[in-house]
Amino acid sequence: MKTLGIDIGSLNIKAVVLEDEGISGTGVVPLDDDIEASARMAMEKALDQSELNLDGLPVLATGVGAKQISFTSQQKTITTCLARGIHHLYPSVRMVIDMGAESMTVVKLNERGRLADWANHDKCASGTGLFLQQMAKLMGITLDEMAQLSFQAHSRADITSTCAVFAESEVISHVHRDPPTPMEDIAAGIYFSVVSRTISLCKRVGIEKDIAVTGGVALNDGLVSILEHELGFEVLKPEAPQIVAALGAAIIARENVEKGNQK
Amino acid sequence: MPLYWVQAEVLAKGAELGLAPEICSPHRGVAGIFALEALPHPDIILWSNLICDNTAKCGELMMELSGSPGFFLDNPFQDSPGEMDYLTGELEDMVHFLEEKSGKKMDWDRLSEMVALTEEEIELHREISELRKAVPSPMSISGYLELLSADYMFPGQPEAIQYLTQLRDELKERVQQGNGAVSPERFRLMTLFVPPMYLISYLGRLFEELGAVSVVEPLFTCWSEGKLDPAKPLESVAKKSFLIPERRSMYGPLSEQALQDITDGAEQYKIDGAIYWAFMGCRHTCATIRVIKEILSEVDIPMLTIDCDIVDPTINSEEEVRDKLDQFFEMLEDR
Amino acid sequence: MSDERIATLEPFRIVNNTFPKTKEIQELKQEGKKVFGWLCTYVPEEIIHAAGALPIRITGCSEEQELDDANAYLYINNCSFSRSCLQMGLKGEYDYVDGVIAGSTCDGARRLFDLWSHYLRAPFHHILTVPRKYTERAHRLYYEQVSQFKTLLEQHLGIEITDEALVKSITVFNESRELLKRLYELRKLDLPPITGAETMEVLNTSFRMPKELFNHYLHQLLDELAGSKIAHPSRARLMVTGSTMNNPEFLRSIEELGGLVVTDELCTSTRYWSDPVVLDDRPPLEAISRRYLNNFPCARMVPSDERFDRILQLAHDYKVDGVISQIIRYCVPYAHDLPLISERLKKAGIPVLALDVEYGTSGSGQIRTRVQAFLEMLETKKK
Repeated sequence: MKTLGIDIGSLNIKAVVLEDEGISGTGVVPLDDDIEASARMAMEKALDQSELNLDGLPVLATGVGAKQISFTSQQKTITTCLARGIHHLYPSVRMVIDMGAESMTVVKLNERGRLADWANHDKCASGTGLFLQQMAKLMGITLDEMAQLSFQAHSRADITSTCAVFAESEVISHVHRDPPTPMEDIAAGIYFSVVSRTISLCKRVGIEKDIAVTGGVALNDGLVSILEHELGFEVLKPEAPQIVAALGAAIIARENVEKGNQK
Repeated sequence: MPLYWVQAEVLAKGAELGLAPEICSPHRGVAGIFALEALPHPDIILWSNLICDNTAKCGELMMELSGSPGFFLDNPFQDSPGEMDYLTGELEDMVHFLEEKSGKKMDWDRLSEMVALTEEEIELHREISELRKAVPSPMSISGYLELLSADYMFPGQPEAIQYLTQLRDELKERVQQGNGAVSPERFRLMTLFVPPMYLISYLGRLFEELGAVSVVEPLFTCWSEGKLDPAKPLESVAKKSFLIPERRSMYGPLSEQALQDITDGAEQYKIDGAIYWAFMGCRHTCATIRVIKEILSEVDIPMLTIDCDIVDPTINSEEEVRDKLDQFFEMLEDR
Repeated sequence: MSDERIATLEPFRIVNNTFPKTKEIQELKQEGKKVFGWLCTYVPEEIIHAAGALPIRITGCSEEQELDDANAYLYINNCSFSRSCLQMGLKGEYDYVDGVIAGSTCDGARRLFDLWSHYLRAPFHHILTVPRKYTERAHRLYYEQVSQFKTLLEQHLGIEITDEALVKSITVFNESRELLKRLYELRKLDLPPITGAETMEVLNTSFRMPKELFNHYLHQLLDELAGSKIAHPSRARLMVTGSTMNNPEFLRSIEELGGLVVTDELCTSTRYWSDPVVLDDRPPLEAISRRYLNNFPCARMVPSDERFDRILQLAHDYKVDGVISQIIRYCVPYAHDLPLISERLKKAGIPVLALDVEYGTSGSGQIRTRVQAFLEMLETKKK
């Protein structure tokens, strides 16, 4: 059986084609003003890889913009999709930390891989991909450079504010201090502030192993390494962390067909 | 006091008086209403500390704003004979205060009658709670809020009895016929605290669409065991404040028994999930969110927590609440 | 601000730096002494002392700390004082206590007690109902509560707390109160020999070590101050009011700007020591119960005028130029009183600076800026 899952994020759209043998195609495209067109582009990319076309393929959408697209009526929320996607990749996972462009979500799974609980920071920009981008910009470096710098840090710059706006001014003052705080330490400080907020979100639902990280920010190995250090153990890192929710969506689409209740 | 219509103006006035945003919005609103003189001038102000520091502390500011005399009724923390006597004594003092200020004499016979009606009223509340155990649940989606209003607006008065009797009879009939509030009934819910007042009608429509219904509300509709005695009217009024549902889980100590009652309720009412409306102004109820979530999870009931403000409509949007509920119901369905 | 150091402050500092796991407490524990933590000034310490145990006050971390676990349990909208205490409890900082005793004084305190009993389970837990009035009936109820607490403690420890023991304990505690009063008298001087921050360091130890030893240290301090030439001039004499607070660094940051804190209305300071237990012809237990309910009141008590009047009296006695009200977010009792007390102080010609703080704050940049502006205003006013 073949299905397609699509995750309409706030920065990127991710599509996954799932066949019986597993994932056969993926597509990630940046979102522009026309959600529908970007979504179609992502799907086409994934379908091209799979050498398939859309005709009659069951599609299920998730993500913040899922309600705005017209080509499928099947939808599930991101938490359910993350749980399904990660369980498919790593059955041992009990907790997912999803770090997206504009949101951070922690999802807890029960032993059957079903969604058991979740928590998110949905009204707060700090700790998200866009926040990190903004911080890198303030420091005049790229996200990759920031990650590399963080590995060379000798200590951490204090960034205590939990609000993105105030954290920004703290970073600026570190940069302009005389002498300026070393860039390495600022990078580590920024990651640490994100990590401490991540961990406090995890504590709201109760930390449980194994933990996987997903979402675009999970590609940032500097941040993930500080996260592991603070948690005190390693986390699982999918090869393509940003497509886990789309994968989950494709899995649910398949289940729906099997249940015979496809709409 | 119905504050469902609290508006920005009222809250702004409260802030202008110097009340911090951390003071719960209904109480900031009350102060605002007094300062705006939006209510008829009160002759007397009566207040008590049941159910939190906010209630305990709001009276003196009202007295100052209105220039009216006031009486504070000190409601003790725990349920012991000594505290019962203390509260009865407090009520006696309040009666004296009212007699003195009004120049009228207390009508003890009328109070006895009201106590008798209150006893009847509480019994009706208990019967209604029993009927709500039926599957499908017979009472409308947000009917529990009307149950509250019956006691808040007409305590020990014929209106409450008439309303509750009619409701009970109707529910009985519906249970016999197997009629549910929603059809099909997909999700039976425990409601903890109450949802934002401005979302009530939206939630009614949404729950109907989703097949969800609240069947039990431990903080608001579960009365404690105990009887009132019309021959001892003042003691009975004191006693009532130990029986009301709000007292046990919100005001008194968080006893293991109160927690047990919540998990028992989950079982008896066959609930699928619980929703805790975390009203940010209500610190002492929010302090129990984690404990309740844990004990419910022990009996395999998931709980959703939604941060909210019950009267300030700028805090939650319909979409945001819908998103959270969608996730929660998906999770219940997925289990 | 002069830099002269008071040598006899050192023993107090050692205690504070290592609390809650101070050497003295651990040694006493090893000798078999029981240690009971109390959560609010409405818990009569003399009874614990008379039972042969050591009463210590449970406080939070007097600096800002991560409150992750406490946020998860108490939610983020309970005051940072109760969250800070719970956080320390959850981290095991108070794992040696043999019991926890609270009063039903405010929502934060009672919920902290609820969760402490539920999750941390010391061998003994008790909460006293504390009436909010001073009527004779309220005194009867509170006496009953105090007696019940005494009985429960006796049963728990398998001992009898005699009247003699109570009288002895009252004497020790009253001596502390008397000595602290002498210390505060020095702050009434035009050029006090001790700062607000230093005084708070002393006060912090008063509920963190055996009272007898505390009294001994305090005698030494008073002796040194009597012969000392230290004198603190200031831009303005300040009084600090509001929520519970025991962080000397917060006061230090005010004093570094040139204000001098000369008195306060805090439950960790003046409200803790101000009234002695009066042993007239009443039985000692009743004398204790009277003192604790009638003590310089917390904002929870009704009518508030009792408290307001005492604040105004202090402002007068200590020649206060301005009041800094520091209220912890979600500390509802004090937040509600702010409009009322500000009005009364203003009428008495005393300006008020109202600060929203978190428990443990040592004075952020924003707070310093506001204090600085306040001091400038007070100086202009004096000219």
